[in-house]
Amino acid sequence: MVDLIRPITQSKFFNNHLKKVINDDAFAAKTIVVCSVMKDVFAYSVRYKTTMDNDKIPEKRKPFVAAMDMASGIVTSISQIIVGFAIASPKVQNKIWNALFKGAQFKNIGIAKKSFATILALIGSGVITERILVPLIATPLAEKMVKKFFKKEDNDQTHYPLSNYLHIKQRPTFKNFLAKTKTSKTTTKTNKQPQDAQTVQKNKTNNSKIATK
Amino acid sequence: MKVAPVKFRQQMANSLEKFSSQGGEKIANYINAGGKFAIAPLVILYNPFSKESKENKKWAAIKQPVEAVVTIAAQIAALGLLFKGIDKLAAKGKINFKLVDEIKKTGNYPKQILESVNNDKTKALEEINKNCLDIFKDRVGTVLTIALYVPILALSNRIFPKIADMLVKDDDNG
Repeated sequence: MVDLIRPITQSKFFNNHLKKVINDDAFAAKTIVVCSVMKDVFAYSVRYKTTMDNDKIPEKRKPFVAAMDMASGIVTSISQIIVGFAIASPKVQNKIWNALFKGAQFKNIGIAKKSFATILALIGSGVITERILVPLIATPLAEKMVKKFFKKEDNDQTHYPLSNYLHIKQRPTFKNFLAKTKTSKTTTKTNKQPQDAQTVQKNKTNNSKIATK
Repeated sequence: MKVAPVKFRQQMANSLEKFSSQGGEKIANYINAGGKFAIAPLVILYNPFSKESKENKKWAAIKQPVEAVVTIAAQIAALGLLFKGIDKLAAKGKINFKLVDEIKKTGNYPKQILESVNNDKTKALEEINKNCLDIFKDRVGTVLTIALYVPILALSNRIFPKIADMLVKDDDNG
């Protein structure tokens, strides 16, 4: 564990990152917002895929639930960055800080201010944007996406054009993972065998040529 | 901007200090789960711009609190274990930051931290070390949170259709 940690804590990149976070409250808050967006982008992509692969969701509900996941992911990432960065700016922070805490006693005002910047940016990006603005925008967007990309009715048959690209064929379970690694091992072995047979054959012909000479 | 009353301001200040001792990654997860649990389903259900059927909206809305509960439970457990492990290693002196070594050599202390400990350099160094450790935990915590999403979402995807099926009265759910 220590061998894994040391290269990070001693790296130039992490050192510069620490300096910036410690000295600049706005940068610290923006970093948390970016981390939050990164998590959301990943989570919404997985959410979309698991929804499309979930047999327990009725077919008629699936397109809207999946479209809602995708639309939310797109709107969330864009709007969280805009709102989070705007709130993290020192001007906005100072105004709200003075309104809420002017004259209040703190054990460590530096840490309190840094946490306040982070919490405010998170509430702005994670609650107001992600939970109120995003569903408001994402729900009608999802309805449009369902009609255009997710569900198409052709000759009384329902097609899901996007799912061809984004559908997971197998559920990401540990069993499937093990099965995949086993099959890949056996395929590399079987690939090796004909090569070995070819080289054996080549060696045989070479030897016979040498013998005839 | 309107200024809050003195007593209320002090109460807010106290809770801010209590909350900030939790660390950025945990705070981010609490806020995220809280919003997902309480606000997101209401906005999905009562969205005035949506023409989607009530049943479909209910299905999408029920997914939010179920996911929030599963997510926060797994995150608290996993991050708690990870942070405990990191703290143990740090207490044994096995985690050293380049920045702390640099400051020891150069004596170039961050102004904000030096002021917060009344220019006591020993305390400032302790504070910087604590800050570095907190930031490190936050970043590692983000990576772990991302990695946890796959099993968390797989689990909540198993649970939520059962709950939605029970709560949404619909004759032809299939």
